[in-house]
Amino acid sequence: MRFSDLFSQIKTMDADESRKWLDERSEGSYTLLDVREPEEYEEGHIPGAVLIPLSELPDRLSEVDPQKPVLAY
Amino acid sequence: MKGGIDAWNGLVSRAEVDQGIYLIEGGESPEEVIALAYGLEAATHRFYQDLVGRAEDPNTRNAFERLARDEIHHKDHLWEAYKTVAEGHRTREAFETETVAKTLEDGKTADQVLAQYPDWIERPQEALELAMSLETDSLDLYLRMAQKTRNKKTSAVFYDLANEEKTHLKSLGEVFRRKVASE
Repeated sequence: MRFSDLFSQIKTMDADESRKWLDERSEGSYTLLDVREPEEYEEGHIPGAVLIPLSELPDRLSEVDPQKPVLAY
Repeated sequence: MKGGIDAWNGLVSRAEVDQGIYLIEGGESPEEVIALAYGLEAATHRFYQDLVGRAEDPNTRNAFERLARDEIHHKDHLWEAYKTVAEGHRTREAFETETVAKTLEDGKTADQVLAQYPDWIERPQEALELAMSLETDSLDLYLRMAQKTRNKKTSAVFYDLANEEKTHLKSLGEVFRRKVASE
């Protein structure tokens, strides 16, 4: 999987649309991705969000399941 | 998501990156993680019971008593889940003596959590806020454990636990809204 593949089909949603998107899906059927830094993550993150800082994402793509849709923030 | 976390208007966990996750390596069986979760719920139960004993306001005490009862229901549910996956017959007493018993749902010890609240919680609303914070961190922990584990059956157990926490949070949210509306 390439870095560009991760964002080949990007849709931007606002917070309400994002909540609705998450509520419509069962746990485990998607990846919730937090791309901030650890200290920002620890100040507050959406429960279940996996932290992969944006600067590290190209090297850690293997941690993102390519079979599942990704909601990133 | 446009606006990032600042735009988010749902539940927020403040758990640290590795908080609680160190409790699993990733290859645990369903029986092992249920035992772990049972220990966490048991520790949370003891935490709320401790708060019952410390609360001076009767309404605050009642709020903590309700929370302690909810944890008993969680343990009952986990015991039932354990019986469906465990090989061999064990009594509940034997199961309880072998579980992890010293951590709370968010991976911290009771003393560490209490140390964060030096000004004693007196109002029921504060008790509910504390409970919602702890339960949100629990939800976060179970979801992240589900993603870390390599065993699909174990992962399914964690997702079930996460759904239990979501239900619990909805219930707490309703109690919180009624409490705020009545004040």
